[in-house]
Amino acid sequence: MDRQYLAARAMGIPEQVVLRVTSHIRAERLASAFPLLKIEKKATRRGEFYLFLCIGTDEMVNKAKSILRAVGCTPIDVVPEDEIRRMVARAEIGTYGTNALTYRPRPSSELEDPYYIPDSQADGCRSSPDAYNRLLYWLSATGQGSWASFSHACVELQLGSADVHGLSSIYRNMRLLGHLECSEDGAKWTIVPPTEVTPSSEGGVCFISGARTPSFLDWVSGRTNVTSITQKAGGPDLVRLQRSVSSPDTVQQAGRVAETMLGLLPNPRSLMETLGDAGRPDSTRFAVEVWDEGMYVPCQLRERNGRYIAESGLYRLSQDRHRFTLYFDSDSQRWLKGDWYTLRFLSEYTMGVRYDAVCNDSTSRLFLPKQSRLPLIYERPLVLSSGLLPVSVSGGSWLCYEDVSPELVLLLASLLQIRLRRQLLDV
Amino acid sequence: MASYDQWNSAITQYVTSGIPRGSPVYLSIDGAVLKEIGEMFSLPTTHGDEWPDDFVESVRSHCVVNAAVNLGAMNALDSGGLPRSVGFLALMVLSAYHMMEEETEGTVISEINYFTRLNRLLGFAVERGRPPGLAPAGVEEHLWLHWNSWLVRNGWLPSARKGDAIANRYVAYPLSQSLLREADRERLERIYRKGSRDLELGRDWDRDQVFRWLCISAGQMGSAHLRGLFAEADLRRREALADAAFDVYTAVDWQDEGSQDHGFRQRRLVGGLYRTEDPVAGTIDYLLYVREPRRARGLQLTVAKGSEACYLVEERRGWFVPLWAESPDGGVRYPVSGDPQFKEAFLPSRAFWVLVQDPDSPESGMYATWGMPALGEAFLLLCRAELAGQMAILKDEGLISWRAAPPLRGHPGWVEYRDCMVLSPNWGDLVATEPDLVESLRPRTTASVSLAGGLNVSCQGGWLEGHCPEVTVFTFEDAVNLRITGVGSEVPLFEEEVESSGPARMPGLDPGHYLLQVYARGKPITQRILRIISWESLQYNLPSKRYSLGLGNWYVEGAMLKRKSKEVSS
Repeated sequence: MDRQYLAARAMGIPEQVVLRVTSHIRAERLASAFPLLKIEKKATRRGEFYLFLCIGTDEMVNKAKSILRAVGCTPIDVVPEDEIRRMVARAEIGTYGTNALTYRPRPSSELEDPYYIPDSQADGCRSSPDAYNRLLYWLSATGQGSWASFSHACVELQLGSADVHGLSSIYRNMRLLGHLECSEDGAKWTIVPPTEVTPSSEGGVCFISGARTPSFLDWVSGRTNVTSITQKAGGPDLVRLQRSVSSPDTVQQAGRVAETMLGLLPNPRSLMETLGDAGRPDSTRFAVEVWDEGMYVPCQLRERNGRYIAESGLYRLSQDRHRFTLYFDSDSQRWLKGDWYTLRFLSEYTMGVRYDAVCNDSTSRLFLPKQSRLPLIYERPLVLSSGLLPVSVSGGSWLCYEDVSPELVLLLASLLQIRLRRQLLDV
Repeated sequence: MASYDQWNSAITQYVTSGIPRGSPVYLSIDGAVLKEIGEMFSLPTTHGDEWPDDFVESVRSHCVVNAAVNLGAMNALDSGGLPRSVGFLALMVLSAYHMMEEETEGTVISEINYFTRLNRLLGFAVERGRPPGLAPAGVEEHLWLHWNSWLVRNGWLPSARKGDAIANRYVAYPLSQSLLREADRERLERIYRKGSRDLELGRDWDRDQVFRWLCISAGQMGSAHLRGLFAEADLRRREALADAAFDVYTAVDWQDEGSQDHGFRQRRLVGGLYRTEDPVAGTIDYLLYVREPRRARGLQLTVAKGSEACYLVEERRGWFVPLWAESPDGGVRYPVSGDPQFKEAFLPSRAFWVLVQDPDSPESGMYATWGMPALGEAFLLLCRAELAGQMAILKDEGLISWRAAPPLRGHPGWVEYRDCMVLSPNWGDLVATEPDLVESLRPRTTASVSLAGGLNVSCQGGWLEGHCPEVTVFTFEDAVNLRITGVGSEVPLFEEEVESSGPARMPGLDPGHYLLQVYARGKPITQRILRIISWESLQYNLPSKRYSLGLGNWYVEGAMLKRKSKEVSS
């Protein structure tokens, strides 16, 4: 079909004129009558350029003229399509559909590394307790997903307000509480089935970990008295049961798991085996920093004969808006990814750093310096001993774990070579 | 012999099996399908493998009382929550197929001809006119509407619809369900074989390639009926026809030209691509992503690559878990074992692939060959570098745009066009240097409804109350209306003219099922289902495969310690 165009002279910035013309045509619902607009992409030095409005039928010529005049263009004549090339010679032509959609690329995401924790080691944002409960309901109903879907749900529930660092902390807290597990790279998660856990303290009122929904909680309430306790550190409520629901088909029984779990965990020298391989980063693509005495310091990452020339340690690799924290083991030449506190612990442990802790036997509380927060696999038993996330105390410099039995304390201290101080007062 | 309820349940499961949520369901039932259902569900039969006769007998025994159709027997839901009318409606569709089988080309379809066949199937001596119990006209319509409502409540789009003309108005319901007759399937196989001998049709093409070839070749098909099928304008019906035609293609035994045995067919599983990205290593891989046909559900299939065999495990409805990395060039096959129905899986040889965002989790950044993008949806085009010229023309003509097009490390000769979006409907005059690519990208609709954001619970088919999605209509039309009604209601809750590409101003929606319809010039041009779920009705969902941390002979999942051979409790 030979299209006809009304040629016109225009002044100004071509893209802006296109916008005026197409807006006018759309406002008058005439996109089907004038489907296309072609323009010279570059105006002359005097700001002039040719514009060509496709006309569906001859009857619309006058209407086309009035539209172009209304936006400040000067109509010339109706020409066939092949005349356009002759009129503009070698100039570049742009084509626009008047009924075209507006191009909208997907916004690029900052939510790259689910393990990324910034220098400030954020605790996670403090939001409405009910928002955390709803997050767990949504996670339970969805069953599985990606780090991106987790982050999106947090933002939708106004947890973390798109602060990616706060979201990583929430992700970690969910794992500490035994609600979620994730893939080695943290990119995917699955919900854990409902689980009854017996805390470390004597006279154990058990609590529920894992999947839960409002209807599930109603079911539990029908079988025993239930008490919900708000987590002070930001997480779904701790749901305590007066007694076991004794329904192993529905709720699995973990029992008094904290001490047993800690007893099975690897010593720090074997901790690397719990981490996933991150592949081989291209040293030319990233800006590299190494963790040194509590902060990141720029460094060079060189390769020679297929080997990285670098010390073992925690590294941060950055490229544009992407950041990854990885542990490099120089002996095996492996880059490992995992929980940030695990990578930091590995880095410091291999340098001979040992952590301190304070324990108050009268209150069954264990205090760890916030700067020495433990790897997730060691911290989880501490959390599961009470079902409560650790709380910042003493001006934010210490983390307090509730209901930690003396047996658990000794196991931990022995496993991680922690210097333990006992006192009768909290820090 | 299987009971009516057994057939009712089996047919419902069969027609919905493998259909993604939001897609239409066709109650397309003929003799061959009844045999397949009988085999698949191991339905007891008293006549060897004469399941079609058994089915007819079971419907008669349940639905005919005192020599008349008893519509009351089909009004309720069965104990499994399925409409009890499906068996009877399937018989009505079977009657439509019988009519079409017996018609010569050019015979007018009429209610008289249709009901003659239906009377015969129901065992009534009266041949002309509606069967006893099915008068006056339209008395059975509520059964179709109930079926349609059930589909919508379970996340699928209904396809059964009333005719526009007064004549055939209600016969249109069963006729709208028929896709390919048995004779059509046989004819198509002959067409495929001839196409292959004439070197016009490849033997390792994918669904879209095959359907495009059929549409182009329709003019040379001897059958007016087939020509009409492949000129179908309704997009959703075209997609269903494409699936049905491709089903026939994958069952062609190219090695056995003389095969006339259509009772048992070995089929090939078709693969697509699933994109994965390693941001640390900076690599992109495309994994073999095999489609799960409905017949394969519940089977233990393995696919072998060299000496290794992998189980084909369902990842989501209609797809198996992605396997190993492949070159986008495709053209590879792997033997499949575990069931005699399936002999191999193949990845078609292609010059381009269209990968769309994960329909269950668009924010995840994952792309795979799940289908074609909706209007307004950004997608990823993976194509050979030689097609760059055609892509440049499309961009210059304002038909398509993209954000970046980097060449790919690890896949020389291939380019990814990222965040592609079709912008314009004006493809008519384009001279295509790469016709396959152009035909694949050309938009087939003038409008779509996008649901984005909110809190989606994809496995339960809806969004949580208080966290509804943003509704956006993308359209090439000058002006459209968005209409929202509750399912089963004619009264609109919302009806307004909406701008293209901008979010619609939505009312708050209570838990329930809603139909979102877009109208242009007074006619519906597209629709979508939206379900709002109450928090109280949420059920937790445990995936069969879950992550855990391995510790020697133990593994940790949440608070649970499990020995790798047995569980422990302390």
